[in-house]
Amino acid sequence: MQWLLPVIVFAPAIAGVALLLFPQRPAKLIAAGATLAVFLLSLWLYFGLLNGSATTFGDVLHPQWAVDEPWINIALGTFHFRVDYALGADGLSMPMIVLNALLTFLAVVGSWHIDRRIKFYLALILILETGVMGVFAAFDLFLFILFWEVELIPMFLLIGIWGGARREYAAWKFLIYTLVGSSFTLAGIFLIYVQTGGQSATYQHYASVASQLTGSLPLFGGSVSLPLVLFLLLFAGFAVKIPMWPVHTWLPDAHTEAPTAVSVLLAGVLLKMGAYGLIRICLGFVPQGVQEIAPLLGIVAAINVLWGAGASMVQHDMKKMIAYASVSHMGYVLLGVAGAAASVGGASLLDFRQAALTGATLQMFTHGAITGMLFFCVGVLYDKAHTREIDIFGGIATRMPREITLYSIACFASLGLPALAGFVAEYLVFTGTYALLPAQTVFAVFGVVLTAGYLLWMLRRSFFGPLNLKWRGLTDATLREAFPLAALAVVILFVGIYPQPLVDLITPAMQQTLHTVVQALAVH
Amino acid sequence: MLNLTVFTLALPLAGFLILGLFGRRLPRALIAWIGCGTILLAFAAAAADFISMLGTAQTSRVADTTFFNWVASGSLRIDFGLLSDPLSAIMLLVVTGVGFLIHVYSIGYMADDPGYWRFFSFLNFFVFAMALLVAADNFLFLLAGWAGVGLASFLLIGFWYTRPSAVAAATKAFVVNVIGDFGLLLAIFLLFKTFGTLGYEAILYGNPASGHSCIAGPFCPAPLAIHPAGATLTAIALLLFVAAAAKSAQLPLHVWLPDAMEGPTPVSALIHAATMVTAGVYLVARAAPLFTAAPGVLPIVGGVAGGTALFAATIACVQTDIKRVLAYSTMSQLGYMFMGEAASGFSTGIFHLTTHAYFKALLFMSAGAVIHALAGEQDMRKMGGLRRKLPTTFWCFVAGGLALAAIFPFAGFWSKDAILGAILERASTTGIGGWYVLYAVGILTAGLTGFYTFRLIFGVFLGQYRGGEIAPHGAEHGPPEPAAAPASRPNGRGREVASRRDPLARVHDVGAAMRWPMLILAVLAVIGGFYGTPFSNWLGDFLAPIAGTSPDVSGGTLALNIALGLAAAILGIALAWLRYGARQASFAPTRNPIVVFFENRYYVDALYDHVIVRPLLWAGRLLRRDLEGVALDGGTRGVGGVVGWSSGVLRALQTGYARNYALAIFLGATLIVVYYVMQR
Repeated sequence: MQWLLPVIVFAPAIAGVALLLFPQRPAKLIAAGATLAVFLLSLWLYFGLLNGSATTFGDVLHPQWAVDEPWINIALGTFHFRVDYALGADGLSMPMIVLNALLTFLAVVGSWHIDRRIKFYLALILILETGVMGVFAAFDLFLFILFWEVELIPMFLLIGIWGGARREYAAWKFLIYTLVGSSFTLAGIFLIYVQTGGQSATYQHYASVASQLTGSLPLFGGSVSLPLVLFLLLFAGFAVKIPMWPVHTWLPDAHTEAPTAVSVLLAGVLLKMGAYGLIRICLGFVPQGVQEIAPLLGIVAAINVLWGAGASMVQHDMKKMIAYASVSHMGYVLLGVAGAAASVGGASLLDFRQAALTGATLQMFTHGAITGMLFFCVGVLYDKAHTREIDIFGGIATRMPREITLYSIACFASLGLPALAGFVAEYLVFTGTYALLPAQTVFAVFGVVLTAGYLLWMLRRSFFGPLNLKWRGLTDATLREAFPLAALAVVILFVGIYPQPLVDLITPAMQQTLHTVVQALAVH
Repeated sequence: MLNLTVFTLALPLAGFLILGLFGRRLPRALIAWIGCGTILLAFAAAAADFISMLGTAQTSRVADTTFFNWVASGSLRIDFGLLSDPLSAIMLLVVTGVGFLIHVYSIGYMADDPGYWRFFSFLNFFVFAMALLVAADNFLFLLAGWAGVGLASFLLIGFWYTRPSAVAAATKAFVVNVIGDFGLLLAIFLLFKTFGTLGYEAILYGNPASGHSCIAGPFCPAPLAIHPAGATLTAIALLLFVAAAAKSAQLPLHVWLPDAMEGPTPVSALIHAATMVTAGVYLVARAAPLFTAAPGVLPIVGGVAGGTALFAATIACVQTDIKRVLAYSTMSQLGYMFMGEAASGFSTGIFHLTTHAYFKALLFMSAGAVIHALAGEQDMRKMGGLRRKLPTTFWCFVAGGLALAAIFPFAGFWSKDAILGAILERASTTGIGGWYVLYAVGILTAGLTGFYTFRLIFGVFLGQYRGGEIAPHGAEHGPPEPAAAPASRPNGRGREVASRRDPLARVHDVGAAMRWPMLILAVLAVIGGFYGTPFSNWLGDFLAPIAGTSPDVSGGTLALNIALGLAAAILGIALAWLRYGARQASFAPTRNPIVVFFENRYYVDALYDHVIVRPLLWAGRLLRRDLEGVALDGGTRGVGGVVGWSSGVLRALQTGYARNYALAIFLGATLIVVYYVMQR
């Protein structure tokens, strides 16, 4: 079964290049077919994992469907540079792989009406899928950063070519922020590679030595803690992606200018790459570095939540508002990780760490589904009305009952209504971090109140109230347009009512990570 | 013992799904059958549970069924389970029983509305969420129901979503309730941190059979192994009370309830009078062991409740919109319920909750009948003299009004007497002045209640009609909806020739669908208090295993209490008669500063707008425009600029191509790597 993961990773890019050879109509069908096939395959993998025995799968030391071949092996004097072609899946990456496959498929369906250079557009989307899949499936740090950079180019082009009026500015801003951040990450990857023996860059290697990684580094005459330096370097790139305050400012611009399907992918899966890196690499491999800074990280997380919410309240553009809501909601992931690593209470609070980290991982998935749905909703509206200005609408619920019903469901999921997916993740994060970082948690929970405020305010101003006669010609979403919305609504409801299949898979992976964290606490 | 609670939840949920998905295409008769039928069956299931519970020994009246494991991660384990015990049984009977009557009433009330299917679908959803709230066996699913009823309330207040005022009211209600949810969430986090579980049994009641323990309390079978600090319990109880205050419209979170009257009147009757707003009262009774064990919380509850009861009653005395009078009255009565609970009479709060559900639902239905008859008019300055035109409505209104004013032997008399008795008993046993003050507030509010209730009755039904001619068609309905069922059948009323002399010629009393629910509730408003009299307190005994025994009121205290309560109410009614019954011109505007102050609702809304809403928006703008736009983005530009400058590429700065900065930073990062690789 070793061919499964490589197929999931590389098939989209191959299909993407292949479809350029066909006329427009079959090219679209190829894109849809390939992404659907990848999605079904990822689901099959997912349930394969879920039905497996819980003792033998699911964490960084025991990846499933693992592939590990030596790829690059160069000796430069004492310095030995080795990269493995290592792929694998576990409870942390599997939900992300499924999410990426699902959102890319829906993005292709949702882009059906694009007529400008559609083949090139679809090819880029498929190459993007490969890049993101690679990030989640790689089990070697160098391979990871390679895929990380691969993803940049299609995203840059997608925003820069198919974007809105300020697309060039947004595309450059996105590229520069990401590139600058990831250059630090690259530095960190080299540094951790050297510091842990310089023989292997596979995840299993780092995970097994993580808790012993201590000591300090000379720096301009003084000395700094090695884990902290490693964490800060590695995290720089992830922080931009998540995005963490104060390096989040690229996101609203990129989101606003990107075409709908690209916004969906950007918010749905690209941000999760940052969160994934934070959990997999920072927390998994340099837990002591995270620990040293955990309370501060918690404070920044709370700022993320409140800042994003505050900025959302005053937006006039729906898309920008949802972009800031993303900033706000990704703060919960940060908070969960900070809580899991906080040094208070030692191992005695393991259950709370577990809840916080499981919640953070779940939030990556639920936020992807919910925000993806929100962006699709805005996209459908924009295609019909050619504006996203909140105040210009008014009372359009009478014209578009189907669209507005689904839009409202997405809003309620986003504001954390129980029985919808967002609540489960938020609840787990908060219930865990409340015992670990109480002050930060209380502030972050207050973000929930603000979220309700701005989302309902938007519903009220745009959709309800008397119909603005300007919009009396507006038509409802067609079935094709509503399909991605409905599909995500089903996912959101299912996870909200019965989250256990996801939690079951995430838990063992997080237990392994926490095991390392707690060991590191003991060493510290 | 039976536990059919799952049907009480599943049937309304099924109704909601069927109507929500297919209702648009169904004929109206079928919509009504599905909407009401599911609730009737849910009521039957609740009744079966209740009857089977009566046949069980008092000590073992608990059935807890776990359905599935919602989340299990580490030791955190939360199951979806439903509980059948005396408290949830009573609540479910009220919710489904009164709920069913209001569903039937809605068949008549909403007959001409284009959103008929949507209305019944939302109403079914509400019953489902409320049943979940009262039947959940742990705090997390209580929260799920809690948020669910909030959503139902939002949808139904904003039911006529093309009206800006309705949508504004819906938003306000939801946001204020999210503040309550915030409190409930924090309480839940603290509960989990303290006890490691969220189940009622483990935290509140213990289980002697399995050796589980609970918080040490007056009616806890086995004291808890963990002894949480008193301050922790106080924090939990206070946070729970924040949630209760938001849901039950207590000060200072009451601002949403009067505005919620923008919803259709059946909604006001069901959600904003009989059931949802009492969820806070239920929560306090449910967590009675916690509130009892937490030092210093019950007096705070009493203070807030007393303040709310008086505050709302004073405003109710000057309102002219009949639904708003009733809304403030509901706030005031909810204050009474919390007052009873504060005096450790948890079952008295629930008792008043049940009787209030009958008479307040009845009053709202009667008010709805008046509004319906007058084609949407709600201002009582434009009413008067409707007694002859609307005899059924009048007598129902009087029955409800007498129960509300707590006149012997109507239902409200017994429950309000139980509450005030518990407070007086508490005052005389502890000797603390605060309880006497609270009692005095209760008596004063009783007088005000009599006054505003009969001001309303006299103003609407007696004297001369003061309004204009009634439009032939329309009532308070929304505009046509897209793709809705074809326009409703032609209405016979419109063809009648209006007499020029009688502006009320077209006014008619309620039809059968509205009349029968009103009559049933009128009977309950008269006799519904007999299960909790001080002489044979069946309800108090039934609830004792959950809510504890209420203070025993008898002898002189009892007599004094009854005398004072009745005297105050009768005095209030007499004043109302003097001012509004005997004379007519009393609704003229006044400049009396106190009345103006009351009319402006103590300026609380204006205060919130200035102190909370505007500063928040201002802060958001500051964040976005000044801090983010100038400081953060500017900072990034600045850093880029400095790097570009220091590498001597001034031209890059001019052209604005920031990729040069990126390159510079990339080089810098690479240097760091090289530096450390060399170090090794």
